[in-house]
Amino acid sequence: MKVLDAGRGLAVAYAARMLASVGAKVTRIVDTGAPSDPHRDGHPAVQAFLDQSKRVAAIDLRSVAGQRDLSALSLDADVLIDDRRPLESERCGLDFSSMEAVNSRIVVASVTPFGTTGPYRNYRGNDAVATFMSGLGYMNPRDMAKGGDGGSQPPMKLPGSLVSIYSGISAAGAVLSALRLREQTGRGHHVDVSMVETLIPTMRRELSKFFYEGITSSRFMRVWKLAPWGIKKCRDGYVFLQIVEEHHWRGFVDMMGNPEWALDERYLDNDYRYEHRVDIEKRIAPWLAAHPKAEIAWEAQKRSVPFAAVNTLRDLAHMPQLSDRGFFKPFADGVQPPQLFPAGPYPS
Amino acid sequence: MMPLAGVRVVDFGHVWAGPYCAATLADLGADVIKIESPTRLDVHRRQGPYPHNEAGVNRSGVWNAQNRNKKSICFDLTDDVQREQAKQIVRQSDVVIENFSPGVMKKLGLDFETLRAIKPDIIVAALSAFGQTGPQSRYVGYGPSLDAWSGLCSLNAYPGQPPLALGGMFPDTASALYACFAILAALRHRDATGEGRYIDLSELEVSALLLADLLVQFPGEEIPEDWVGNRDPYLVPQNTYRCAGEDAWIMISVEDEPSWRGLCDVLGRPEWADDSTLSTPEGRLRQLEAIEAEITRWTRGRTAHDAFEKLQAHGVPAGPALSIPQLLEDENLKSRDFFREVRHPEVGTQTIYAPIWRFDGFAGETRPAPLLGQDTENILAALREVS
Repeated sequence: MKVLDAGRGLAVAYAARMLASVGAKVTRIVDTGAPSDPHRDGHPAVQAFLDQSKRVAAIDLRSVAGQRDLSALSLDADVLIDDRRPLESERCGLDFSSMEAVNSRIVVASVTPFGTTGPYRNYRGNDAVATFMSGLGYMNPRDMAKGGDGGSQPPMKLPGSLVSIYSGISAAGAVLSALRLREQTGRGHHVDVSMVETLIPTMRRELSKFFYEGITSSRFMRVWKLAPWGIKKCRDGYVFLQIVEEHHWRGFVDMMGNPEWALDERYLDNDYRYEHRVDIEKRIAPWLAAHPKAEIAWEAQKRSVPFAAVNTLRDLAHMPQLSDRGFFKPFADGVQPPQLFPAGPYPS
Repeated sequence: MMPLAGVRVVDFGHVWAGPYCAATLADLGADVIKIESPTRLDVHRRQGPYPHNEAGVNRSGVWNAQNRNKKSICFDLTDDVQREQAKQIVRQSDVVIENFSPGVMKKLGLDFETLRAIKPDIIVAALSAFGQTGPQSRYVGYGPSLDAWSGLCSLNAYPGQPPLALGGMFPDTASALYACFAILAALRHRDATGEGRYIDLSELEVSALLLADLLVQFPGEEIPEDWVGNRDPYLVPQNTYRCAGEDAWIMISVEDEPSWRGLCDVLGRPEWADDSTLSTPEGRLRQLEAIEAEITRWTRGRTAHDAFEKLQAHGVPAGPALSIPQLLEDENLKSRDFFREVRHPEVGTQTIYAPIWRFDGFAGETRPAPLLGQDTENILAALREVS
């Protein structure tokens, strides 16, 4: 499988990286006539990670010579992945009809914020814009208490480059699907991946709530009417508490050393706990403040209580589960100083 | 013609990740048979919201969205006869998807070795919270646990504030899509070599990979504050700004020089466009307060949609924070027929999103989710014919 990674941004870079991981020979086309995207090329380690085992062809797509080089590369390519708006793709000769004219069996995947058809097809967008226009920004963060006019709690984009990488994962699957389609039809295909549309199925529950209960989900809706529930401060950071079943509560009380107040039988009932959640949170706060997150999570899990540590990325580097499965691997030679990159998510 | 025409998938999935993975394959034209236990129903079959607030195993809005384009067969897998019948279906299938806790498939006598003995080139995708191996593989948790474990929550915060719960269901949905990719790759490999594959996918690892760029950029370090929340050190300004109306906001993200110039035009501050102290993200960061005050002054008096159209017309990446009702009215999604109506035999008309990938402009069919066990008789009859 020969893949041309013509993407400027992170989504396509990640999709092509995934294809390389299953044996594709990937050539990255760097358009020397256009500025680079800092999320892809702004940091050497990120670039090395995304372009691992890719060849690079530097081409000025706006020049005649560049177009000739592009044609030569496309001639025996199976796939080209692009993230430009249709207007720009056409200008650079990267659109499906230009590609198909050179190679009738090529699969072209477009990964764009809004898709390659529709009134917004040439609008500009990215991670943050796609999050907002998918409906997710409006309901992130979740479980907020509404204070004042909500002015200090605006909608929020999703962390880091999550949306780009998520779209890249989607696009990599779309490419393999289109190749399967090609086996049946014998010809090339265009596959259109809209970042906004890729995100929408993550809101199945919220869509259902609107369709069937008329409820508009927002940041200020409490999804889980359980207590204690949510992210709470502890000695060295935060833990995520989840008490769903009666035995979870019993386990938690045991962890705290069975304090007198918590042995009150009424607390075994979630509705009662939910009603008194503010009071409970006050009572458990000193115990949480005295214990570190890893210990709280470990002691909870020993008792089948589903607590989680709110890890920072720094914590991940020391997480036994990840090291046991070999999640972090050293870069191949050439990267100085030697660094680790995340592999996974399944043993190869 | 559909990409996965002729591929049969057995879906032992429940709740979220497994079923979404199988639904995505069903959207691609695979013949997906969902094996359901009559005694231990999928929790989503037992949870609302329900149309007209009327509960019923075939009425759950979430379940019906999650399981469209599939067939349903009821088997009690702890019953010897029915388990054998399930194995016969596997014998005639290409892919098995399961997301039980590690160890459950083995307890049921349906582990990979057993299935491989029945069908040597079977592809099994096992999705679990932490993976099948490792010291945390038996840890328990509900939906958002992995947002916490994976580091996603730690970056979901307002500046200087504690981490907050995440919208969406990314550990599950990203794992479903990753598993889809892995299955499609395994099908290619099988077609070329005749070999099957066991995919032990860890949802924790998928979730951490969603932050891959930060993991490699800041190895073992704390993430600087300017990567947290709505900001981005490369894109200045990037933030959400209040518009006219209740809880109305727009995201504006200046990516490059043309979009900075576009923003200056929109704001009526052409002199900023030529001010060399503002020509770089670092320069603009130093005067962020003044710039953002000007943006807010401009957005406050406008609807988010109006601001969006004006900014886009000037080449500025921007988008309103759409709520679900606004999303359903979005012109672009409408013109792409992204939300469609299907007729479900028990709940009537149901609005559903289209398959997420379009091949030559065509997104594939959406048939309603199956009634519990609706295909049991037909599938058993077909099995008898084969044997």
